[in-house]
Amino acid sequence: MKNAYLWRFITSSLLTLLTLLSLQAQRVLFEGHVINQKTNSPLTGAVIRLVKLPGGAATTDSTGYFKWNVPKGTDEAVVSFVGYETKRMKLVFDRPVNLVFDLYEEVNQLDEVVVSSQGPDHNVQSLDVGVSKLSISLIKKMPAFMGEVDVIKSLLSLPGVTNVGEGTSDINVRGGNSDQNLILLDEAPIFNPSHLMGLFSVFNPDMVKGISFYRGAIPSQYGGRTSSVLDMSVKSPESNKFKVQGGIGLIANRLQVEGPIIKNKLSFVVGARGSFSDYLFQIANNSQIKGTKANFYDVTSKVEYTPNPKDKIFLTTYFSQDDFKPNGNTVTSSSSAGINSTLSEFNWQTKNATLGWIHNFSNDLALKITAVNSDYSSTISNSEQADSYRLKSSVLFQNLHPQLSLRRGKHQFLFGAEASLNRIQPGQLTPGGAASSINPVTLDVQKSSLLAGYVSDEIQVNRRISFMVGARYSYFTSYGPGTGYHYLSGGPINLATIKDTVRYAQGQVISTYGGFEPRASLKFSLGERSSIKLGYNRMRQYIQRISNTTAAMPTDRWQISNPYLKPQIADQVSMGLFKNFNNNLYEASVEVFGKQLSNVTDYKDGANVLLQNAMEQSVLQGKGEVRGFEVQLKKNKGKLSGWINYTYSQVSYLINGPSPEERINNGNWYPPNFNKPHIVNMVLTYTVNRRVSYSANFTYSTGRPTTYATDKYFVGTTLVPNYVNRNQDKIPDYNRLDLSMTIEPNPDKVKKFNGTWVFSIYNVYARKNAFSVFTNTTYPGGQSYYVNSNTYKLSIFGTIFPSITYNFKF
Amino acid sequence: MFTRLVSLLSMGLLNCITPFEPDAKFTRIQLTVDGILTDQPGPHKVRLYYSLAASNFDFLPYLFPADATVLIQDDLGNQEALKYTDNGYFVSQSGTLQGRVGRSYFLKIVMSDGTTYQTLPELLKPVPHIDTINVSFQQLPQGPNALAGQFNVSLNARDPATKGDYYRWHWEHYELRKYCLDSSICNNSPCVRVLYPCCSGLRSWSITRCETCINLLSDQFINGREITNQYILSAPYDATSPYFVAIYQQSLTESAYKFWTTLNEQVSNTGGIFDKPPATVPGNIINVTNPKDQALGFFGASSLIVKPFYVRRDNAGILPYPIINAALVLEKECRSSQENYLATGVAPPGWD
Repeated sequence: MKNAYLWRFITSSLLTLLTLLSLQAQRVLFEGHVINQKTNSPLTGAVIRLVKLPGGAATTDSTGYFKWNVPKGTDEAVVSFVGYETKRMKLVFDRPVNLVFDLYEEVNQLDEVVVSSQGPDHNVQSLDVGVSKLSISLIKKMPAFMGEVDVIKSLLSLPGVTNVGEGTSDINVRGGNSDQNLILLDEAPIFNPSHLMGLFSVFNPDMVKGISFYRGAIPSQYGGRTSSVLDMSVKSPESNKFKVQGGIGLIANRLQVEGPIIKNKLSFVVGARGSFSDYLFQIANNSQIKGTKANFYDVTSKVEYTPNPKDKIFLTTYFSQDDFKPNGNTVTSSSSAGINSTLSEFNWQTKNATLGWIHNFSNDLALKITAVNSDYSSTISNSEQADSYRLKSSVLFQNLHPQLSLRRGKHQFLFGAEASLNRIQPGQLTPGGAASSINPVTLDVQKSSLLAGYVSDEIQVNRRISFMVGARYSYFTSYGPGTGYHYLSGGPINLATIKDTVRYAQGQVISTYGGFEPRASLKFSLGERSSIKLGYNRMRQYIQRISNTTAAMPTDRWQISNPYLKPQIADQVSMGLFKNFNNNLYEASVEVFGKQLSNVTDYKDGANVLLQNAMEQSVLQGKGEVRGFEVQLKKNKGKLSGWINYTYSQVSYLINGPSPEERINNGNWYPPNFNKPHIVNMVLTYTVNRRVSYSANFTYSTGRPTTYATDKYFVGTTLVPNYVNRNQDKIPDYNRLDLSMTIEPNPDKVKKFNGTWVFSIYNVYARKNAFSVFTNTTYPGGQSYYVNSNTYKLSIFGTIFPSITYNFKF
Repeated sequence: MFTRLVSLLSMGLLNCITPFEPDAKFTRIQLTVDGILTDQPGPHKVRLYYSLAASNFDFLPYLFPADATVLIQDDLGNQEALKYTDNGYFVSQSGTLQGRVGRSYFLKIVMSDGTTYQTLPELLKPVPHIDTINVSFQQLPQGPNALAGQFNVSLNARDPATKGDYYRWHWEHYELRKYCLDSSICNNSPCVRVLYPCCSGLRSWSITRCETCINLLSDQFINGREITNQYILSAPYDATSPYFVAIYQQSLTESAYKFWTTLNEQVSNTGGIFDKPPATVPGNIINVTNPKDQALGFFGASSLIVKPFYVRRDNAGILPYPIINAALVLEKECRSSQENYLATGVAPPGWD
């Protein structure tokens, strides 16, 4: 009854979207489930194809169910899913067919699907443009820095993804800033993906199941960031037996336990990871880093309850903590009340929880409701100096997200709504002790709400054409209490042009923004093995990270839109040509993209963002443009597999306000500091036999933009470099080769305990890649007139890094 | 195996810094102003010169606008012309020019071609007294050429109740030396260092400063409270004799503070992740004739107090490592003291 109401409501509200197509005659219903043979858990996104129907395919939903009207006759069904052995079955379609396909996990398969495009020709047949799906088993084989398998770092091997340099966990996607990536772990956003100041990312590879990475044609269920979506799901626990696995590495150790609480009904998985990297800093023979304290741990858990085949309830929690203290000589630090980043202790933590309920009304209609709580906080403190202090900032995000998916004929609908609350404490300074002279400062808490609704329809018109149309509407409101400022009109926004101060009462609306975010994609098959795809998306972003350091820092503050800082908007158009060869052994693709960015933000020269209540005084907004293309060739199977890609991408900003203070680079176009026009990546895996495989990873990218001094001058005895135009120069180009060898247990010996060794070498030819180029003043004679101001290159990992990791499973 | 791995790793953890010469590029040089007017008696100096090319080779100014007219003017219209001496320095002549708290000052420069530059007016703000000076001994880890320890000197002062007070500190260490003139004779290379004794009744002091210390404070977080244990310097423990130091505490305006903090960020960048991106240091010189032209530097006005102080070094509890100086060979002929950045024949204030 309920279903009928719902259906009536949906059809009436979506009449405009429906393109009703009459059912073709002489067809029968082919439906069924795809499950994991071992655990009986459903496989979502598995692809079912028929050999005689090369253009068509069905995919399974979150319950593993699929449904397809197929022509009468005999055919062969091919069922595939990443990480699983492909299953083939001859079928006679003379009456409706209902089957369960159980797939075997590919533990030691030689023909492992290297990159997870769900079906072997998924890249050609799906509507995805600018989408990558990576399997965690592949990521685990890629050479990793210090042996730590890193989800975020592995994304750097995909086309269109860069970062500002080694030692950061930020990524820049198709010319987007690093705060424009929506990083979700079971729908809960991660505000800081860095462990150890960015040397590693915060995701425990054992706990991640699937990774979907969208950088073009972003589906309408995602919103809030303008560049990309990294959607990761935490693995489902084993529901019928206990399993333990773990790993021992140079940096961190991992342990994971999973199993049933009530067999096949209630099960759990907990994975923990902790570092013991302090010892590395103690033995280092460099006084700069000796004594550095750096530790982290993270705990991911998931509990799943399946009371009946139609319902699933899950609770995912994620907790991570980092403590980092560089070894600074505090005595010679200059000022007592200075908040000096190089001499302080940094702590940051994430506490996330997701509660979800999936209910299948029928095989065609499913409801998913999730409630999310994300809590990120960071502290910078110094207890050793005379005026000890503690500076805390935090972000609290809460979201309720119901989503309905419905399949009707050739249509696949998605409806959803999101209601979220955001609470940011941008800075709270407190004295570190009774002797400290620090006056406490508490910045206004920034409160906002976001309401969003979305709808999309994926329509398979015929074997050649399928398309997706969708729209999202988002509405942002920020509330008091708070303090705002009015500025003199016509002049720049700064401390001197404040006209009056406005006090907002509790709950008073400070500013509102909103608008539509259309999304669309189209696939047109050119033949059995090739297709052209078009994608368009508009994204709105109402929260941004404010930073004026080279790389993002854990203590960077988040800022919501206010009357002066407008939300960022990105419009992206992408077009791709996809072609497979040799029975899907090779995949080739070319994607071209263009983006228009509105209200991009950059800092003013010498801007102070620390404890700044009126951020509009420190930053400027303007517009941006991105143009580029990506070419990739991939070999999916065989002894040698992998991919090579090239990306060209050029991003430029224009910030040209009425007064000189409101301009960057004198009001001319300039590249932001993450612009790297040329990138080449190569990832190759050579499988010697079922136990031993080798991987190589090569990357090349243009050096990022920087500013060199045009001249230099003295102030007193200090030689000062003079910088005029922003980012008009670039640091030297980057290139690096990594190698790894994986030795897996003998598949012919059935053992309870399985161990895997991973040996890897990072930066094989020990290239001193530049992280930055900077000017430093030296006094060669100690006390002397004769000052030298020299330019230097800093390399963060300027040598070869070998490592060993041992992983076990029982 | 493991030990080898670990040693490889520890090698790797060294951030590596190598010299780098950027590609040759267009370099421009610009008029630069470096000067300050204090409430101390004159003469007051302002230095004008053209900036240097941004290469690793040029390191001393060599172009000076000697024929420029330079005036210091206050908000009441009083003005005084400065006279060019050498090396870019323009010096006040009257002996009466002295900054006064509460007055605003600016500099006017007229170049020989008529181009006029002017600085934005700077208010001379008062500066509080130094209440106490604190000394603590710190033993240093042993190592080659290491000192046994150092005396860390800090001070306390009271920040006034008004908001927006900014401070800068610097210091000069004076040490009486055994000669008056230290020169090099390079007639036949290699050069020979020649030391001349002081003539009778004359003395000479060597002067030591910290070239890289830009010691600033804003009262943003401590307004109205005691500035406690503000670090000033570390006196080396190389002898048990007192270490004489003149401590200077000066007031800054907000724009001067911003100039100095940006400057400090730019010169202390080490290329790492904490670095501030390159930025133009916001000076206060404007080309009146052509506002599009950029001039560099800052002309400030400050109240300045000097506190002479002897750091006692005979109470450390351990012995200093003796510094062995090569025996000085003095010429027979006597001289009066050099007067320059590194030496003076005038006793510093507070010397006894």
